[in-house]
Amino acid sequence: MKWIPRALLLLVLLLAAFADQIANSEPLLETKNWTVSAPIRANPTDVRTDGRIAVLRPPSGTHLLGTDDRGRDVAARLVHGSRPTLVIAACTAALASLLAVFLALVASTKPWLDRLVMAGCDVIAAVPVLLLVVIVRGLLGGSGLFALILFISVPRAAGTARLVREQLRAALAMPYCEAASALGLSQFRVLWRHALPASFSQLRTAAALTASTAVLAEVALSFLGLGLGGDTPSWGELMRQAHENQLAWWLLVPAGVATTGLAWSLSSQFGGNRRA
Amino acid sequence: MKTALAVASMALRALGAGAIVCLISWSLVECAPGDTAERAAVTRGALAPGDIQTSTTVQAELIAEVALDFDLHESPILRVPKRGLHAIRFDFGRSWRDGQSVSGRIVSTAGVITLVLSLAALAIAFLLAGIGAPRSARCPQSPGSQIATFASAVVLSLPIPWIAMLALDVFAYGHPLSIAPKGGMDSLVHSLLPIVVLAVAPTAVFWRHLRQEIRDAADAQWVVAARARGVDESRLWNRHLLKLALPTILALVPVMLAYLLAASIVVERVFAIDGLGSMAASAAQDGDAPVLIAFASLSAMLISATTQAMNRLSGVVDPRREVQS
Amino acid sequence: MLRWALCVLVFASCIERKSKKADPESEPTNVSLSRPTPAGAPASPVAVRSQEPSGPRLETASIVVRLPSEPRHLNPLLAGDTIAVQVALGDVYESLLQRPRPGARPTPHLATKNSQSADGLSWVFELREGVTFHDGTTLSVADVEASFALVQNVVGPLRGEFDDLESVTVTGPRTIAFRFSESRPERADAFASVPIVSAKSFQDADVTTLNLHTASQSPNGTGPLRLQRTSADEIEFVRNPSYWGPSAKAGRIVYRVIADRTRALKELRSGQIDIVLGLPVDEAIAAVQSDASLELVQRSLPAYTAAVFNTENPRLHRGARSALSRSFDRESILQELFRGYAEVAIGPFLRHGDREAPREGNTDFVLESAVADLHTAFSNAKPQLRLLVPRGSRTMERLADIWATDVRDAVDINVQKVDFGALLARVRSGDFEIALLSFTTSAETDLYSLFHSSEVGRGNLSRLAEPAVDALLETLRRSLAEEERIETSHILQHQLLRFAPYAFLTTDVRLGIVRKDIAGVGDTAPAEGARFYGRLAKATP
Repeated sequence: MKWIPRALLLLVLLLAAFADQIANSEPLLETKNWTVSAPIRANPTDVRTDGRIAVLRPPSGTHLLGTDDRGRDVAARLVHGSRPTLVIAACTAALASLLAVFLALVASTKPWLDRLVMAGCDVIAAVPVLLLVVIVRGLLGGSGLFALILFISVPRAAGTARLVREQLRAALAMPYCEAASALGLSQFRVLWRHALPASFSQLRTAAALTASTAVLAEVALSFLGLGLGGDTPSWGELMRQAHENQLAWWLLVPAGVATTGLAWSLSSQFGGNRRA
Repeated sequence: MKTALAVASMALRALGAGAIVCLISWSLVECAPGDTAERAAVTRGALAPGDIQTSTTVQAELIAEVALDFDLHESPILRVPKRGLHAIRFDFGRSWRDGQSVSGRIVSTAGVITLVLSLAALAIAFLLAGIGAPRSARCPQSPGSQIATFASAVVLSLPIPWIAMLALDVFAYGHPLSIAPKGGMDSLVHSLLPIVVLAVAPTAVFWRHLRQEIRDAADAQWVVAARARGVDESRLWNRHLLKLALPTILALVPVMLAYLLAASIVVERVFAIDGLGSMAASAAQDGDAPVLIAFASLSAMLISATTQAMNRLSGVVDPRREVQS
Repeated sequence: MLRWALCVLVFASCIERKSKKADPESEPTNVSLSRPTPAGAPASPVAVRSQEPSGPRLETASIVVRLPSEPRHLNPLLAGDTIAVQVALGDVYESLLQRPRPGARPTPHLATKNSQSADGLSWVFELREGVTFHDGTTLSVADVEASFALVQNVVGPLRGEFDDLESVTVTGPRTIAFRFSESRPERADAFASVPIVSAKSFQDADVTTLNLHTASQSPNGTGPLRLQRTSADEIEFVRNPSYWGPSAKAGRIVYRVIADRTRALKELRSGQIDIVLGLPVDEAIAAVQSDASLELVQRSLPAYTAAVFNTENPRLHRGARSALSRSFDRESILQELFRGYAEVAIGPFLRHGDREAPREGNTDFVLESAVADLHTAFSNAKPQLRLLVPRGSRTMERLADIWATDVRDAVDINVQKVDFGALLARVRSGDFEIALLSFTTSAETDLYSLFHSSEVGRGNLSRLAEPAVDALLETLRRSLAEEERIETSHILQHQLLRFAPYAFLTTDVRLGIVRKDIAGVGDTAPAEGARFYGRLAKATP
């Protein structure tokens, strides 16, 4: 059973990495007598198939998962939609981890800084990611990939910072850190070289959970129309189209299954299947 | 007297939390790029978005008119604290979009709808977790328990819009399984489907934590002693151990309430319910700051009040916690 | 093993032998799109209502109608609110003349008879007796005088129609005469669009803030419905018991503001509202298909969808505009977005019979040719052009995205979704390149206000200033002879296609849904300005 989340994650990674080879209307390889085409013979942005526009068609031989409300192939958009989702998940996890480490290190330097930083983190971490992102996005504006990553990273970083901070405190109380301090190493060096590595396992688990949260948040934001926007394929955008078009099942089901699979596989990595 | 003081203290802290969130939010608005009054004018529809870059006398007059209308003509240093203080008396100003009083709309309909939905979802989650978790903790290897464990992990990975739309598609809209009415919000029956959808994730969270707590407590010596004295197994699991695990769940209530407020943004959009979440979603798209800040402040007040209430309730359920605190 | 077998299967499906017939030289490069729908096309549209409910009418029934937004006022004289016209004109306010049906010549309504001089410069009306306003005051010539004074002084859609009005003279106790400096053939339609208001209600009103005046918020007209109450999201009208004509069928008409269409459909299904109009075609069809208690009605107000080009933009020269206009796949738009409930429009002549010139040349759309034309028009430069689309209009957004994708090899279309009010403001001020709009118009399209150079900044959204077009518009405005008008219309249409200030796309269709027990909606639209909601009734099952 443990291999299932890893297999799912690997599958999505492969889809994202080879999206252009999996879903492409142009042949991949052409020789004199043979043509090698992509399994999904459609681009995510093409509105025409064989020169015709076919809007909101159910699955068929031509379109494995049907078409959306602009005539674009749903299967192609599903495959290409994995890219922005994975990018957001990875970047959010990385940024949140870096921010969390920074905050935890700052908090570990002085007691009053500890109280201040942790109080702030507690307040921000208590607010659900979606709620915070919707409010901040509405107040400050800002669309685009970086804004989305930043808005999702900050609350997760706040939550992770406390975990890292606890690990740092526990590590600083250990004899090897005391010995390092006694040898005259600076506080920063003790924290960075000796105490921080103890928190890596927690950081890894938190990063996996952050990535999972980021996937769900991005899908929810795209559904609300606050996502990446434009012509960018997105699983949340497919769900939004389903909502606007009488819950067309070929728009709704594949996007939901893909999101659930990815979110679950991420949250199940490193034994981090705990969410509150 | 003591109770009244406690309630007053809770209320003050909640109002304070709301005021602080209001202050921080308005500070963010003032610090955002561009002039606040110009952004308000664009949201109001008095200015087209492209007009911000070009300044003409007419546009300046329009912006001045909107600034006067929404009290944006004062210096930010003055108006931000003023808004924080107004938040304490639930005055969040007027919507930049339609000019209507934000508090009036929230208090009269939207806030009540969302609160009812959220509390009903919490109640259902409590009930289902309270029934299922002790059974699962008692027989962890049973097929039902294992399925439930797996399901609770997967459920937390389900995207909220998807759950809501699947529920709508399967249980409404004239399908054979149609058990839920298709529209209206004038009775609890009509609200059944959105409440159930909202309750899915809290049920999974409560269930997992309750199960874990009960299992941890089941190894205690007093349990062995109780068994030796002939206490019925059902009574032991469903009453004594459950009661012991409740404070942990009570501590999760504010967290789940925060989650429900966030989830309501999506669920109300799917079910076309005119609640606070729906208001917030529209406000986020329009850039309607007063509505968003009202939502944030009220959420903070509610979560703060709930946290304090649950802390006190934990003390009632488990008096040892009150002694320790 | 299974995994490897799956991989082999997938790989095998990607390889195909090239067909011997696939010779690029002989293979046709053009794909012609024609009207017959391809396989897998959406099912035939649901039929619109063909029979009214037969049960007896409930005289005391309430009928609830959805409004998409709250009207800022209820005064049809003022600009900026089509909902005000929809709610108030015909049922609350009435006019001297009224069209008995769309396209028909207006006939006396509040007037018992009217006459005009041979040169069309003088119009005389005799006012009907026994007509009272909702506040009990009797209709008099002073009220008519006051109404037309407001028309001339207030910035509104009717001012342009009466900009040549020289004088309004009371010639008798119930007779009033109008003198114009120009003769315009659409004059009768113009009179049919002017609501007659109470002079007393608007006495001492400041015309600059008329929208805030009490009389604009609480209308006092002569119609079969009178205002009962307003609240934040409802406007309630009741039957006017002292109406001079046939009474309103229903006891109460309630307009409920529900901005969200999904919520409106939900409330319609649950019976909380009875009528929802102005829906996108696919939503309306889907709603009716899933609920047997609902019926489709087609409320075809004369309207069309068009892309408006800013002719003052140097990049959008005449050749570019023509090429852009030809790059719209109108037939596919018609079939896929409007599900056949619209027609291709090549000009703003809506079912005018002879007025519309025969279509010239081959109208089949060929994408490659259209893209090639764009390359030529823009000298292979691939410009970036902004396309403004009204936010919230899903059909327009889809149309815009499809078009932008079609032409992306030649032009980079940047689709911007803007609130309708802001969009209109930007278009009027010239701060745009291309805008996609739906135009509701009258049966007699006022082309002068749309294309004359004097209307730039007002009705002439494309900012077209062509002397040849101006001359034709002035001729059309003056000429009364039908043959001359037809000929001039044909020449004008040819000129408009040549200069292409607009790319006319489709005649717009808005479908509505009513509950089966609601009578009086019918399957055709009433004429603009005629009573509509006053005809509604609830029938017993």
